[in-house]
Amino acid sequence: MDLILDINSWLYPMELGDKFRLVLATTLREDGYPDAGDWNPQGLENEGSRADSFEYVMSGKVYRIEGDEAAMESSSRLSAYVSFGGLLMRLQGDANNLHSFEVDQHMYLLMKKIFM
Amino acid sequence: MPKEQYRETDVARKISHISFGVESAESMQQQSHIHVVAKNLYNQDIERTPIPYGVLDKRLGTNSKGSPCQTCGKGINECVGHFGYVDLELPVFHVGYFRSIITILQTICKDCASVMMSEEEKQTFRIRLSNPNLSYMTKKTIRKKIVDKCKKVQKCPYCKELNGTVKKMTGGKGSTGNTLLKIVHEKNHTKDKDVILEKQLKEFGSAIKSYPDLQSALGANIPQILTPIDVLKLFERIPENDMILLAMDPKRSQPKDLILTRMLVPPVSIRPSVVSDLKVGTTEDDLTMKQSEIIFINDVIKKHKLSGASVNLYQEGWDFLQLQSALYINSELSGIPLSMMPKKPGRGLVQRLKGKQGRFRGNLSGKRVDFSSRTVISPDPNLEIDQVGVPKHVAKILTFPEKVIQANINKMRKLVMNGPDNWPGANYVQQKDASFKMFLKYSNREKLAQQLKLGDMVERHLHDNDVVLFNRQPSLHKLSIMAHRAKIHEHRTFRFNECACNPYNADFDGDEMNLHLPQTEEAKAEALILMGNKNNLVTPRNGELLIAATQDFLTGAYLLTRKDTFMDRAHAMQLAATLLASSDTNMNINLPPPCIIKPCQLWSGKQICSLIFRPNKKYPVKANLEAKGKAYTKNRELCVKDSYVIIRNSELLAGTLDKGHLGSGGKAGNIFYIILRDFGQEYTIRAMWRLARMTSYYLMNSGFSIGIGDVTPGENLIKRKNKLLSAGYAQCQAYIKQMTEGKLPTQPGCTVEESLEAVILKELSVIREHAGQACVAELHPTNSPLIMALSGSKGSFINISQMIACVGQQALNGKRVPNGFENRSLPHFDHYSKTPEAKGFVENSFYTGMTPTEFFFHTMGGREGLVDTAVKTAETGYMQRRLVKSLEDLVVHYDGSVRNAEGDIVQITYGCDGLDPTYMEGKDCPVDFDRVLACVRAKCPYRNEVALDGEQIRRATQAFIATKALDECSEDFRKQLVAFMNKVADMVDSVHKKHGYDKVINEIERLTCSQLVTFLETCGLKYTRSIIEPGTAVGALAAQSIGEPGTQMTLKTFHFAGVASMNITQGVPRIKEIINATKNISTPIIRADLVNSSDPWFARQVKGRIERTTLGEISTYIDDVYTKTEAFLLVQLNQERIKLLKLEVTAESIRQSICASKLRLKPQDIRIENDTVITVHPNKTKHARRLNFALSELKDQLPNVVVKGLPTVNRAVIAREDKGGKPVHSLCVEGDNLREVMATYGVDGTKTFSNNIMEVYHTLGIEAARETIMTEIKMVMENHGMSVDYRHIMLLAAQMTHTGEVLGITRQGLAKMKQSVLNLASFEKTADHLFDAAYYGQVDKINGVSENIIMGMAAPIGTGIFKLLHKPTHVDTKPQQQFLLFESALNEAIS
Repeated sequence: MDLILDINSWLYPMELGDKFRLVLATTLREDGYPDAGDWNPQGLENEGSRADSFEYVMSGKVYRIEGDEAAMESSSRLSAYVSFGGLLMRLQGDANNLHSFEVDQHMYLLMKKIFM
Repeated sequence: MPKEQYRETDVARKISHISFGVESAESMQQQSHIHVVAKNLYNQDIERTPIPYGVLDKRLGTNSKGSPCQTCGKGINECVGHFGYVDLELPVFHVGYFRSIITILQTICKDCASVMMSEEEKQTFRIRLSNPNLSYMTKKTIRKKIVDKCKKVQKCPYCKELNGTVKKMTGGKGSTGNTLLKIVHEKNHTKDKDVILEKQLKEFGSAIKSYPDLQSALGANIPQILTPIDVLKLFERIPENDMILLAMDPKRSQPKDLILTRMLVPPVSIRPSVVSDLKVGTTEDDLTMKQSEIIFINDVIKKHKLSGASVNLYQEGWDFLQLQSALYINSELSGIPLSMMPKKPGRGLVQRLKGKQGRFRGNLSGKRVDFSSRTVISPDPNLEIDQVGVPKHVAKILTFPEKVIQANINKMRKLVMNGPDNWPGANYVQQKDASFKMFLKYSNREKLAQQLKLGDMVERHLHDNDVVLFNRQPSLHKLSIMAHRAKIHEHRTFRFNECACNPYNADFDGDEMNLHLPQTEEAKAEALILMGNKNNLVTPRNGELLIAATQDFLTGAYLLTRKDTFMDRAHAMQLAATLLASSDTNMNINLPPPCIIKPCQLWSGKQICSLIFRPNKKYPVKANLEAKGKAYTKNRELCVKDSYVIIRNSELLAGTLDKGHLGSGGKAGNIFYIILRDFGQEYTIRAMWRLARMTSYYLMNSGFSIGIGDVTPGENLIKRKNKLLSAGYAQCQAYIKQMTEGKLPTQPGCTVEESLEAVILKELSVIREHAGQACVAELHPTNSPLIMALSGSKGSFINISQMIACVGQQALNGKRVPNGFENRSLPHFDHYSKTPEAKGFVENSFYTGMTPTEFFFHTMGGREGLVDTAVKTAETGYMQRRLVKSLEDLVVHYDGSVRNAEGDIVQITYGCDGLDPTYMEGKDCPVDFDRVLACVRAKCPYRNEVALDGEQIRRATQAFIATKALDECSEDFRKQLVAFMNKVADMVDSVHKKHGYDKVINEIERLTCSQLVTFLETCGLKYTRSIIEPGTAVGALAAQSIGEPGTQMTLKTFHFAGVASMNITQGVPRIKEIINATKNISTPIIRADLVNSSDPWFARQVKGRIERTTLGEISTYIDDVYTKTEAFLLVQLNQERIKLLKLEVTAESIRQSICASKLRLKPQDIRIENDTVITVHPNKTKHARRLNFALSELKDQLPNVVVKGLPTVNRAVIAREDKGGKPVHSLCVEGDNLREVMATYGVDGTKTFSNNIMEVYHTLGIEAARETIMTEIKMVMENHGMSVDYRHIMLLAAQMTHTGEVLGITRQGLAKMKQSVLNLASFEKTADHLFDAAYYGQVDKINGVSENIIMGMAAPIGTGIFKLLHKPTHVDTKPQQQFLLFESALNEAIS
């Protein structure tokens, strides 16, 4: 898997060599139900949220899935593109790993640094 | 009670045609009221009453309020005036017909007055001329043929009388006195002296008897002066049958009427006397003065007649009468003798008609209007795109007549009550049955308001949302005058959204604009639909967006959508709230979830910007765009400059917006263009307006200004610049050194100096370019000029580099600064200095400041720019006028053909496909398939459907085509569509082949059945929408589309591809050459492909065959040799050079060339000594006396003998291009003679092009000429970065060639294209065309635009093209036949 990700480095500085945990989710609710879709200004603080245990959370949308053009025949690497309000992510990997990606899907990205 | 519909006034009568003719003396009398005889104007009494039977007689009409006309009794406003007439004592020539009179005299016998042609010839011409459908042009050509034939006849075939040449009398030839308007007949212009002598003896016999000295004058040619009396007598005797041969229509114009015996005195209303308070007496019009002068001379001549004055005196009076009557008609007569010259030049009848301010152009084609206003303009981003802010002061003056109806009576009452001084008010009330309007300022408004009843007319003030026309001069295209909705405000300027600046080409540095208020509901409706600002977002020139975001909006949008623009909730909300205004005040806005949720909630600028396109979830606009930006590097959206924009369903996902996505000029990459094409104009202007509000708010809050710090270079930048400079200078020095040492490699076709200039210029321009790049790299991203350049709002990288780093090379005429002093540009430099700084290179920046010499060079460049623009505006203005005049009549008809005013077909289908250039989304085609497919995929996901595979796509497409849903589209288009779908199917197949089938794989290139159908339907819709509407004034559009970009063209020349040295004329001068159909163009070039293009030696060989080579060029020396017996020239050929140039010349061929030249040498004079030596021996016997002179003369001329090649070809250059790694050679031939070049062995004749239109026409024919016109115009436009749809260019070419010969857009060409007299008269040479028309008795059918405008009728163009045929529901039965009084008796008698 390859990852390209834009982050707001003023809010969340990262250095080369930092280790981090990254979760992609379609909802922030702990129970796993899809969230309302609309943004609710009050929403997040009241209920428990998956975001609580992460340091950096973004919300965005999958906008393109494409086959890898450069790779050899037979290898089936795909790329999924997600835009978090202009901050882009490209996740490249085997088709099996990107199984549940769908175009126009809403997506959350949660990050946390791991200290060792 | 509805408002009455607009009806054409007096529909029962319509002007069907105008016929021109020459007024006869009898009809002049018939239409006159008085015979004018008195020369004085006024009685010498106190009131200064006009003298009866004078030129100001009160029966000729009135021009004062007090006294009514004595003929009709009407007042000044009603009386149209009445004519009078003056009888001339002696007939005189009419200046307007003077040329025609001479040509008639050349055609007829000067004795028996019949046309000098055999009866059979006459008959054939008569048949041709009596054809009722004869066009004006052919009539003229037939007449010319007849005249040419008759001119040659010396002996009249009927009376056998001798006839000589007839011509206008000219001074010089010993003639004394006045030669003005006199005709001489050199009757005895034959060689037979005896015949002449005999005749003269007979004629002057009695004279000689009394005055024997005359005898000596006999025998010579005595030219006969044909006086008006003689001519009149002749013309009266022209047989009626022969008049047709003069191409005259005897019913309308008779030859005898071409000579004035009587003149009309026009009504006083067209020549009013001006009574001045300051001066005693009146100021009379020029016409009045001339008339009274004519009467005065008339009296003098009459007196002479009675008293029997001397012939001289008599003749003098006659001459004077002739001159005055001529000046009355045309005061700009040339050749008036000094003694007779009038003291002050008056205005004759012709002068009243012609010129820009004349009757035709100033009063008939264009008129002054009411309900208009003009003031300064200012910008206002808060106004919507289709609004215009109108000052209240203006709104109170511009009124609209509104009829009182049930629905508006209360409102109208209020308006009437408010009166003219309070804004929503009214100025006048026209009561239904009252005869005059009531001015509300001084009347009892309360009472009037109460009395207001249905059907009254209230002239109310301009209101908000009234449709007004807004215009800025120069009105170069149809978008220079558009309809806006008015918005009244308190200030004093017209205001509008900056987005609408582009079509008007307006800025706010003091520009003024005009505003007009249409006066009927129909006019309003038509203006709103046809001229409405929102209906004209796109220019018909090339289908690109013209009304779009500009300047600050671009800067703001750029800053807002940068990747690192984030804002907290308060700021995001505030920014989103800027959208809530005007009709959107209560709109819902769905703020998207913040893109960063933790550690704190932040929205990105892109998210807020997306609200512009789609503020809430119910908003139907789902635009899709994927486009590269200005700074795009690579890797699509992962571009490091974030310059790859992706907008998916109106959501900005990636990329920074810049001019390409928001500004004008864009097509596929422009988000507003996409909204316009997919969702309509209303959504487009709303989005544009939201952008204007949001970005200017954002910019105001974030702040944006420029200061000295922005243009101060950093240390690093200075270092880099210095490095660049020193490297560049060193390189230039190296080149100069190389040249002085003679080591500089020359470029093909260039001298050493030219090559040096070329390389140095290249080197220096590289310096500035690199300096610019260095600036961009070094400057901080917050640098204001940099932001402006990057966003495309103002300025370029070159401008930045000039401010900060280096101003660069100053160019004059595309070259470095020339030498203004002796061998140097300025005395500060060494002679012959070629260094950069001596030739105008400015190494300083505007920030550091220039040295005096640099400054001087810079002003030189600046002045050239100024002069160029000044000259160009005048030139392009005239070009535009000519283009419009020649193309204005072309209209698309209901059958899809383009026809001119006469109904002649110019194009069978407009632009070969019948599509409107405005709607071209792709490159010259109405649908951009890729884009539409991507859009459909995103817009309609159909998530519950399954994706189709390749085979299914193919079958579905075929099935859809078979349903005939696309039958309105052309065959070609359907084929393209199928081909595209097959490509898509292939793509889907390949994805599946590569990745197999899987849920996530289906997401790639996913296309469902419904999507496919939507796509195909959308394509069909787009195609049908783009079919051109019948009635479209395609001609005017083409003229504007070609003329308007002309004003923006700068550079004049450019380098030919592959050949550095060959310049071809470009820009306005070249366009002028093309549309004038100039015979000798300034840079004729023939491009010829070769049969064998890979071999450079073969190319050289062919070049040798074409290029003009003279003997001098291939000889080592030409020497004169004198031996004891002989003297000859010895020519030593340079065999080496001949071989090198691959010239196919031998001593033998040279001998032939010398013989063929104009040196008058015979083959035996030239001896071939051996292969390389030729001797030329001038003929000894011929030049026996002066052989050495002949020899030296020959020595001078011999080197110029052309031994090989075409004499018209100055130069041929081999152009070398690399195509796919292999060098491809072709020839560029400078010069004419396409025929010979094509025929040259080695040239591929089928791939030979010339840029000389007339030459192509003569060589290859009319179709090739048309093609050449198109390619040439297209090339010029492309070279200047101007995109013009090919349909416009094609139409222009078609108009120039549709008659079968190439006609230029000039007054000569236009006269051959148009039939209408009025059209031609309103263009140029007004008087000539009118006099001509009168002579021929021409009938103007009033079909065209100009004619209809002149006559004040609706032209058959646009909405005027269709006519409604009314089918009455009940038809009266056939009326009973009424018998004549005695018809029954007659019938009885017969039976």
